[in-house]
Amino acid sequence: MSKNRILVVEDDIAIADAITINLQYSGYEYSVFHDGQKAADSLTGDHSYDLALLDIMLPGIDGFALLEYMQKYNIPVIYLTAKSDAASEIKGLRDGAEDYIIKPFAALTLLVRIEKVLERTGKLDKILRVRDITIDLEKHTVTKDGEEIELKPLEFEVLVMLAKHKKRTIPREKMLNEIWGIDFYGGTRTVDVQIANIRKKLDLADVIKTIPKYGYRLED
Amino acid sequence: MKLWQKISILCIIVLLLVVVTCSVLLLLSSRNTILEQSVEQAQTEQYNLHAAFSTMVSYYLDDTESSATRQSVVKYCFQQFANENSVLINDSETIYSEVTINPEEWLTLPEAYNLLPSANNQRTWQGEILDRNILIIGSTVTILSDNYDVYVVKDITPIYNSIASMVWRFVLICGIGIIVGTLLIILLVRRTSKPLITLQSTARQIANGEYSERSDVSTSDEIGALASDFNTMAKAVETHVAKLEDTAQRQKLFIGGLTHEFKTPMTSLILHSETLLTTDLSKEDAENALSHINRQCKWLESLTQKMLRFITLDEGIIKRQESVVELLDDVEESIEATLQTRKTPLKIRCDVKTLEIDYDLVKSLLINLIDNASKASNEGQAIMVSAYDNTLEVSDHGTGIPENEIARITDAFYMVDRSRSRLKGGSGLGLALVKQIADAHGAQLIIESEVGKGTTVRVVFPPITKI
Repeated sequence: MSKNRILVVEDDIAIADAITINLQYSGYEYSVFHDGQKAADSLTGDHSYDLALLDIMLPGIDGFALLEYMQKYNIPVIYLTAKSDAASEIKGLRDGAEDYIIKPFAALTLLVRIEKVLERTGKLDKILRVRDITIDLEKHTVTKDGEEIELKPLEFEVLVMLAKHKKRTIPREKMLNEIWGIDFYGGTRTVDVQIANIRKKLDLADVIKTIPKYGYRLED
Repeated sequence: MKLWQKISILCIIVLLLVVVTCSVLLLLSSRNTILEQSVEQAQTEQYNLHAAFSTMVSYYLDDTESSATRQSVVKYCFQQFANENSVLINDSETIYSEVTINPEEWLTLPEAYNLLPSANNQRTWQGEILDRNILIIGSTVTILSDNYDVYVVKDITPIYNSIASMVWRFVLICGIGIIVGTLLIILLVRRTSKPLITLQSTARQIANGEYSERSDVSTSDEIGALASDFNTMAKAVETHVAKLEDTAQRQKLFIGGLTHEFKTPMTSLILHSETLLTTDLSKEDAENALSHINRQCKWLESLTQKMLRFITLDEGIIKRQESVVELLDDVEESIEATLQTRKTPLKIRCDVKTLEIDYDLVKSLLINLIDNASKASNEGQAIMVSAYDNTLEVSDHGTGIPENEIARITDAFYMVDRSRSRLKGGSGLGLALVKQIADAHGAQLIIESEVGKGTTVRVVFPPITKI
């Protein structure tokens, strides 16, 4: 499966740059527009996007109006906006947006939300590859050199999270939140134990790097 | 207790006291007069009887006659004058009586009688005999050494009965009078105190936040004066509250705008710094992220500066006669570097010597206007600054402002083209600040603009007041 393509419409150049650089390093392809009208016009030529990230306050056509264009081509939408009032959130979701992120937001939050939408719409690649390791998200299996390796459920989740965000440091707290859930009261040591197991089972000691006092990063 | 009730009750008590006292006094005096008159009448009757009888009897009688004859002569003489009330007694022997009771019998019981004052040797008694009110007047006539007692016995019960019925009539009349009086008092007092109630309800409405309510009480008494003062007070309160509400509303809008304005740079700061922290960026990408962070920080800093200016401007300005040439030179010097980078030259024309202004504020106003003009202009397009009459004018040949947006561009945080404005470092506060400085000087801010042809902003100061 080829890389997922994402349409970004955000008038603030600094924010748009920050988003695209994260998309690029997470292995997405993207197109950026700083103007709603131009984004809408471009769709007539090229509309093979898997997802659109739309700002609401935009020059030209605003984000709410852009949603209609997106729906015409079945492109799922996530809104990014400083409008934190409940009314616009309800409007956005009722009109058929997939999700809604309020500024300011963290990059990892954005990436996780993007993955969730892609997963829901079935556009996410079901196979992740790390060097000679293949991770099948559907079958929940991990194979190394064609040989299946047994991983416990938690180990599998941690590996998937690292593999989805290659070259990005994932904080221990973030992993706890995403995998164990917010209600989990165990210390961050639990994460270290899982990482140690993964390193041993898959021979990834060099590939999964420990970033002191922060978290772990999977190098490619 | 309510005021009208208090006043009414006081009035009613006074009315009751006066009416009851007067009635009692009047009744007593009427009763006495009536009784005195009947006593007097009876006394006169007895006196006449006595006189007529004694004259006649002394004329007809001499001592030669036998006692039996004498008795019949006396009886005859008495009969000539007697009526149904007359009694004649000689030594406990009743010679003549039409009356059912014997006065002698009753007169021996002194406790049953009141001895009333009388003249002409009369004796007068009054008292209750057998449930009747009886008046007895008597005197003694001596005829040939015989004593004859002449009495008039009158039943005055009807007089007492009429006095009693008079009392009842009085009570009835007084009762009706008091009831009517009470109703009248309540009605009148309520009417007099009604303006107070109206005033009170108005005060209550104002207390509930209906500050535009006014009292329509216009009586010429103290209540009217109070109402008029009250209205003056209500107006002062309304003006004050409206001012406070306006200030609060403006501050709310300002803070709302500010929060929104902060969110965008904050988002990009968070995103870029987080990316730098967590992602192994290439050198070029890392530098790009850092330069974004740097720019956003500078922009936030300039926004803070402008905000401070904007907030503290309300604290009052000091106007002096200042040289306009000096001012324009100063402005040019301050903004020269920026204009050179943007390649938008500045042309200055000055036909005014002095203006009465706050130098620093007007300098800031001009810099803001010139900065805006330069942002709207393309490279090579000149910006004109001119001073004439009481006017400072800044004009450009830049993009211009759409007609429907002109009215709103002086609102804080309003931007016609948000992305373009942000790109050039606009905060959305510049023109709001300009407007506030102009207002503080009592100057008019006139903005004329046409899309594609440029914008002219005029600040017209009020004419100098000649002393």
